[in-house]
Amino acid sequence: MAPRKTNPEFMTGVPELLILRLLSDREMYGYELVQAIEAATGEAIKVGEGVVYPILHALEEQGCLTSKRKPVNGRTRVYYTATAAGKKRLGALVSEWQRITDAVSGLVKGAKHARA
Amino acid sequence: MPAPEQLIRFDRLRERLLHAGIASRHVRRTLTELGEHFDDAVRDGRAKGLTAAAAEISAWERLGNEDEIVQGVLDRPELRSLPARYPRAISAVGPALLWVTVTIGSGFLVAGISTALQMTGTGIIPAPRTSIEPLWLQNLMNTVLFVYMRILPIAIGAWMAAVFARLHVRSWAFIGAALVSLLSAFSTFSIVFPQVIGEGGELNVGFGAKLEELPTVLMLAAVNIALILSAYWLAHRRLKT
Repeated sequence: MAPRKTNPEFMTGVPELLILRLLSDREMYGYELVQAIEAATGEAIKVGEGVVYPILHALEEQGCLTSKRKPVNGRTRVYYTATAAGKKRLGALVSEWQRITDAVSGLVKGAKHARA
Repeated sequence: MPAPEQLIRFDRLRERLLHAGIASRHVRRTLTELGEHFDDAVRDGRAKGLTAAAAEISAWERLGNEDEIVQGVLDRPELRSLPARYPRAISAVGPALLWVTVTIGSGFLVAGISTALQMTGTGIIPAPRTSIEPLWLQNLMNTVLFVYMRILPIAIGAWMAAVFARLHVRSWAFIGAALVSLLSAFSTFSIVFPQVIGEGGELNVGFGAKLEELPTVLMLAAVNIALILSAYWLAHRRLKT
């Protein structure tokens, strides 16, 4: 059975935030990054792993990431890392995410109080 | 070596992405990294005890279906090629602009190199001039000029027409073909070599045609258009099959 995917509409912008967050700590290649996302979110967030590459390439085009090919165990892999612009972007995305989650939490709590 | 199934899937994906206007460098890169990701996923599956076939099925599932990947790339306008972002403007003026830029640019490049060589005392043509250009050099320069004036516009027009065949901007591609064909047919560029030592040569650049030359020039433009549009038609037919 195929793994359950998270609602794509709800997920818009979230992979970007997760990618920038993880690549701000250390450089990673695509496969490693996907595994890190699943590990960091307790597998709560699952997207088609192939869609991580257009996000990485677009972020690099925007100057938020840099990449370099490095040989590892007889194979070469493309490693990505966040730039200063990427870290700044991450800060903006985190603030926006915080604003939305606070608003949704407030609404959910309000609904609970109204029911009680 | 990639399995036949992988080659078929990636070929289909490549065609869909190029057809959708994604820049070829991004298509190449996406497919390379997806292939590496797929290999890693198969290796992981095998390490977990799956058979080779089951590991491949699992790897494809993890990668996501083709539509999802295509949509993921299309959602990123940064990955689209310049012609895909501005198809009308580039298909209409691109060939003519590119031809003029390449022709003038290489003229400046040759002049620059020649000047630099003369300044460092290693000029091909010594100054002061002690002989006229040999015939082979005159023929070579006239051939290069012919390529720039008659072959290059068709090559650029045909190449861009083939690119635009993917983007379905037929009428604008026709305008582009007509523009570069007319511009090159009406342009004149000639070198007059000095026949006597001490005499100066001439470099003539012009645009236009005398009334009596008009039928020949228009015929030349028509042949150029026909050749460029043949390339467009071939590319379009190849895409359909």
